Amino acid sequence: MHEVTEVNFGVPCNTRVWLSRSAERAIQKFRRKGDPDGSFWKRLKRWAQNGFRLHEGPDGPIRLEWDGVYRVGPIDSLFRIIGFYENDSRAHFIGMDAFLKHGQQLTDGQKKRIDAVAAIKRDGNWRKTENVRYPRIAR
Amino acid sequence: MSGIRELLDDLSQFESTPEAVGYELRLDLADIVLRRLRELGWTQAQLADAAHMQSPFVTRIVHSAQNCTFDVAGRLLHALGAKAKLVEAATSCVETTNTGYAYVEESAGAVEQKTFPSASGATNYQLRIAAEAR
Repeated sequence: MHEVTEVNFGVPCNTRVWLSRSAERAIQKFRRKGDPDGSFWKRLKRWAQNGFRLHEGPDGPIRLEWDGVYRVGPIDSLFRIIGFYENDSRAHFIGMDAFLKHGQQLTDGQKKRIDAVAAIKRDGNWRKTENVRYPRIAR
Repeated sequence: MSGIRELLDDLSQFESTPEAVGYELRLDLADIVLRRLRELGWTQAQLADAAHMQSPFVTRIVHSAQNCTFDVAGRLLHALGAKAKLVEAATSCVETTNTGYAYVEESAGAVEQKTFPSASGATNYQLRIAAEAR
């Protein structure tokens, strides 16, 4: 069972973003080496605020790959978050994996990783976890 | 420190830089262009044709990957039949004109941009400037 934790941007978001640990680690690594000014992360926040639907499309940063799996990534970066929506409302995006492409084309290994995410979506083999790392409201 | 927490802290630091203010405007412009494209049912290529620009340039604007001058932003907005103005995000503001009105409101730290198309078809938008006390 793959657990995902919400990214709390601190603002109301029309699409709430959840990340697996492996996606989180990949983003951290990319953040240090490939995104020194934080522009990818900042754009992710804005897209979440607007709702991912606005930014979807063949020329947009959020595109359908296959089997209900989407990739999130701007044109000026080869970094991609791979995930899927919880349902058709697009209110929750589940970022299950992330990687840095080596060129314009996906490698066979990266295609297999997208297939693996599709399998997780198909089998419902994931669950949201409460983020205990953020302060909780006392009951 | 958790990974996400660390990333959010990095984001918070970035948002306090002068560069971030300009970057917000890029994001705002991309939002306006995208919303107006949806309203018109246009593709980015159609906008590029209408604005006499290269399609990849428009795509970079939509991805907030491209810096541009006010003049270029004006050409894009003109092609889309939209108008925009800069306002202070911290100030609730209502703008009324002969062609419609738009306002920006802020509550609980979140700024929401609301726009109302005019009867004539022109749309007024406001680009917001994050005005935070340091």
